Amino acid sequence: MSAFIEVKNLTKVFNGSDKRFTALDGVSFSIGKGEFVVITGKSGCGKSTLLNMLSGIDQPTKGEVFIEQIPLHQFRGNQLAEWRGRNLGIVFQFFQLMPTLTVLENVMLPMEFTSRIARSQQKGRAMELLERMDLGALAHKFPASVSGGEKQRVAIARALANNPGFIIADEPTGNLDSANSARIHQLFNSLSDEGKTIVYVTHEKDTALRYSRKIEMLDGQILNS
Amino acid sequence: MYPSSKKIIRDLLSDKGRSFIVLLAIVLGAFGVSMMTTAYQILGRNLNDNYRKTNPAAFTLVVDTISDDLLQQARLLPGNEYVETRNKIMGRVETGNNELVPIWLFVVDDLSNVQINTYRLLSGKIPATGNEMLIERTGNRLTDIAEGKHYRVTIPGFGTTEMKISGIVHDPGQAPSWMEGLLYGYVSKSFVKSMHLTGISPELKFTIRTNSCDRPTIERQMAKTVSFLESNRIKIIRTEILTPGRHIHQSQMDSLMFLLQMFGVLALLLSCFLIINMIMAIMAKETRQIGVMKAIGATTRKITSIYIRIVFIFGIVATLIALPLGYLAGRGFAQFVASMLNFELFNQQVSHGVWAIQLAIGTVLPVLVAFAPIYRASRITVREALNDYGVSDTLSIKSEHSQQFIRKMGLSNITLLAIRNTFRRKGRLVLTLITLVLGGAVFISAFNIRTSLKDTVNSRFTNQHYDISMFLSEGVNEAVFCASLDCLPIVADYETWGYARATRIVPGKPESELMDVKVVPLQTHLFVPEIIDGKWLSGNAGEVVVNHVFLAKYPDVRLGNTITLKVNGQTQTLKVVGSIRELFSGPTVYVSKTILAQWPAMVGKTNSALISFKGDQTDLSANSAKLEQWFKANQYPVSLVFRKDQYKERVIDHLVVITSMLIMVTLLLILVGGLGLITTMGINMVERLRELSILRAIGVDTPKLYQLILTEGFLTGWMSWVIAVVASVPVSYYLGNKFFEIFFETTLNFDVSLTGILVWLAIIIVFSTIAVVVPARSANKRSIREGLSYE
Repeated sequence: MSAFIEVKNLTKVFNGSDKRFTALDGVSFSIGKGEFVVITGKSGCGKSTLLNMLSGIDQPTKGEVFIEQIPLHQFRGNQLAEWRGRNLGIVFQFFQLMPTLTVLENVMLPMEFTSRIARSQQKGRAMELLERMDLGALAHKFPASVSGGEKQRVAIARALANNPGFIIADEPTGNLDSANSARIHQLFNSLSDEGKTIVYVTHEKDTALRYSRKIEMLDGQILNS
Repeated sequence: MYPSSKKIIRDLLSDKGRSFIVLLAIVLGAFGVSMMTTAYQILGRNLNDNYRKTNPAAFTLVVDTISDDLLQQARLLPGNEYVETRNKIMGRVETGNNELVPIWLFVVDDLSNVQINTYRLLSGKIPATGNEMLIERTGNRLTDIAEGKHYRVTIPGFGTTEMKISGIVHDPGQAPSWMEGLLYGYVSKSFVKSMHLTGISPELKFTIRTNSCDRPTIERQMAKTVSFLESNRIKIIRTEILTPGRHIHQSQMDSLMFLLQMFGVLALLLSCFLIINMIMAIMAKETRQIGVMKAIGATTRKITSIYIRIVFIFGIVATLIALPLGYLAGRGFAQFVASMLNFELFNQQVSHGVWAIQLAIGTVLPVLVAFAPIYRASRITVREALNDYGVSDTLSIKSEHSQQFIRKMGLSNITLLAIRNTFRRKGRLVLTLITLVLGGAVFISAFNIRTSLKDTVNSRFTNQHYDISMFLSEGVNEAVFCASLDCLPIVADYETWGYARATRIVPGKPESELMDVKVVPLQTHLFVPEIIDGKWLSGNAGEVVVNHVFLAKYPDVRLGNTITLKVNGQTQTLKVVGSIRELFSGPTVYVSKTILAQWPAMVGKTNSALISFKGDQTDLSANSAKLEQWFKANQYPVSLVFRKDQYKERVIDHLVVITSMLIMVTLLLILVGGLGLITTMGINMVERLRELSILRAIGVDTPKLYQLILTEGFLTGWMSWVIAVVASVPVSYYLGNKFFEIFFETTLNFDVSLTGILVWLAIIIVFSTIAVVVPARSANKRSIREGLSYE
C-alpha cells in the first residue's frame, strides 16, 4: 500500500543578498493515511519550510513531494491553490482570519473558493462546524471581538470547511495560554480519531496530543522519525 | 451574498478615509472628462446650429445696379434658393457719454421678413420709418445704449441724423459687439433714401438649394449667376464666397475645443496614475490577506476578481457622483462660452455616445488601469505574502559610489535614512513622481500658456508707437491735413497713410474675399512691423509685404511670388518681398506710397493716419476727445478711430474664453494634482507605519521622526517639482503653439510663468507636509505595540 505523503530527497535553498541558506537538506520520509505526525525542533531548524513544502505554499529547490500520489512539486500557483482548497486544511499560529468577515463568513470563505459544497449548504455546514467548536453563539461576531483561543477554533473550523482529509497545523497553540492550548489539542485528537491525516508543527516538548509519530528536525535534516 | 462580496463591502466601509480618497480620485477624473466632453459636444453642436439657423449667404455679388425684376429672375435660376440685397454702411453713433462708437448699419430689404443672414427680434418692434433701427443685443455691453432711446448717427460724408432704437435683436452670425468694438444696426431701405446715401453698390446675398457648405458647388452656382447677370448687362464689381459653414468665431471655438480636448486627456491621464498609485497601496496593505486566501484555496483569478469588483464599485459610485456634476459644470461652461461668443444653446442634450464614453471612463477605465497592479499583487506566493511584515530590507541605493558620495556629504543619520528610504521602492517612487510630475507639468503649462498669451498680446501693442489710428471715408488733401495736425498742440507725432479694400485676382478662380491694403510712408516709425520672412518695403512701387493671415489664407503665395490685387476696379501686380506677423488682423497687404502714382485718385491725398499724443497714457482719453472735436470742427469725414488701448482691451476680450478656461483647468488641477500629491505621498507613509513604530521602539523621538518623514516627503516633492518644471516647457510649448496656430494661424511668443512655477512649489510644500504629517501624527498616537502588530 502506498503512503499518503511521500517526501523524497527534499531540499530547499534560500538565496539571500550575499549568501545561500539551506533550510531543508535532502529530507525523505513518508506518512501513512490517518497518521498524526508531530514535527518538532528548534527555531530555524526547517519545520515551517517543510510544512510549506507539504502544503504547496512553497516550491522545493530539489526533490519530490507526493500527497496521495499527486506530485505536488510539479504543481504551480493556481493548481496548488485549487488543490489546497479541496484537499487540505491549514491552521496558522496567528489565526489569519479575515478581519472584515464574521466568524461564520470566515468559515464559509473556503467553500466559496472551491465550490465543493453546494451554495445552499455552505451556511449550514459552517454553523455545524462552529457548533462543534462551541462557537455557535459567536457566529456573527467579528474576529476582533473574540478571544485568541476562540479565533484559533474558528481557524480550525475554517480548515475543516471543505472536509479535507489532510490537516496541517503550524504551531497552532504558540500564541495561546495553557487552557486554550489544551482545548486545541483535544480538537486535533478528535480530528485524528476521525481518520484525518494531520501534520502538526510544534516546539513544545510535552503536549497532550495523541500523535502516532514524532519527527525531530535539526539544521534542515531529520534527526529521528 | 458570498463572503467575498461581504468582504468587499466591509473593506470599503472599514477604512472610510482611504475609500473616500480613492473615490475622490476617480470622481475628479470622471468629472473632468465629463465636464470637458459635455462642453465639447454642446459647444460644437450649437455654434454650428446657431450659424446654420441664420441661413448664411453662400455667395455675395456686388453689382453696379439691379432692378427688382432682374433680382427675382436671378433668384429663380436653378440651384439658387433666396436672394436679398444687404448693404453694409459704416457709421458712428454718439452715445450717452459723448462717445463716438463705430456702427455697421445693415440695410435690409424687408426687416420683418429676413431670409438670409437672419436675426431674431428679442424685444421692441421692427422699424417703421427710416429713422429707426434694430440693434444687436451685445451692443449694450459695449456702450450705454437702450431700446426706445434716440441717438445721433453720423454717416461719414453724408451727415448726421437722429435715430431711435426700436428693438433689440440677436444675430448669432456676428461676433459680440463688445469684443469687436462696434455696434450692429439693422435699418430699412428708407434710411438710405432719408440720408441721401449715394454711391452704394447693391450687395446681393444668395443662398443655394443643395450642398450649401460645399465650396465647388457654391463656385459653380455663383459662376452661373454671374453669367446670367452679365448677359443682362449687369456689371459685377466684386464676388465673395466666405468659407462655407464657418462662423466668424470658429477659430476661437476650434482653439478652445483643442485645449478642452488636450486638458481633458491630461486630466484623465493624471486620474489614471492616481488610481494606479492608490490601488497599489491598497494591494500592499492586503498582502497578508491575499496570502491567507490563497492558502485556503483561492486562485489568482478569484483574488483578482475580488479586488477588481472593489474598483468597479468605486467606479460606479464615482460615476454616479461625477457624471451629473460634470454635466452641470460642462453645461455651465458651455453657457458661459456661448454668452461670450454671442450664440444660444438651443440643444443642451448630450448624445448617448458621449454618455456611454463618460460612463465607460468612470467605470471601465478604473478597472482597466487597476487590473495590472491588482493582478500583480494577486500573483504573490503564499510564502511571500505571509512573510510580508511591512518592513522591507532591500537596499535603496546599491551602487557603492553612490553610497560613498552620500556618506561624504556628512548628513545626519536621520537624513541619510530619509534619502535611502525615498529611493528604496523605486517602482513606487517612479509612479509617485509620474503622478506628481504630470499634475505639476499641466498646472505650470496652464500658467505658461496664459503668460505667453499675455506677452504676445503686449508685444503686439508695445512695439507700436502711435496712440490712435484713424480712417476717413474719402481722401483729403494730405498737405492741408498735415499742416492742420502740425498746429495741434496735443499731437506729438503723426504719419499719414492710405487705406483701401482689395481683392486678389487669380486667373480661372473667383475673386477673393476683401482684404485691407495699407499704403505706408517710406520711413514709418510709428508702426514697427514684426518681420517673419523677407524684408520690409524699400520704396519700390512694385513691392508688397503681406501679413501672416494673408499667407495662411493663400498658402500658394510664397516670398518672391507676384500677386495681383484689384483696388477700386483697377488691377495691380506686385512682388511679395516680405511677410510680417500681425495678430488680430484680417488678411492685409502693405504697399509703399510710391504706388500711388499708379492710383491717380489718391495722389496727394490721404485717408488714414497714425497719431501719437503728447503726455502720458492717462491723457489718452481726453486727447482723443479733443482730436475728435477738432475733426468735427474741420469737417473731416472720419469713419473710424481706433484707440490703441481700447483695441488692446478688445483683443484681450477675444481671449477671455480661453483664459477663463485655463483658469478653470488650473483650479481643477490644484484639486486633482493636490489630491494626487496627498494621496500618493500619504499612502507611501501609511504603508510604512510599522517601520515608524520600529523606529519609535528603538528610541527615535517625535521631532526626529518628523524630521525623517518630512525630509522624505520634501525630497519626493522637490524631485517631482524639478522634473515638472522641465517637463512643462515642451508641454506648454506644444499646447500653446498648437492652440495659437488654430486661433491665429501663427506661433505664440512662448514664455515661462515664474508665478506658475512658484505656486506649484508652494502647493508641493503645503500638500506634501499635510500628506506626510497627518498619517505620521496618527501613527504617533498609536501605541508601539499596536503599530508593530500585523492585524
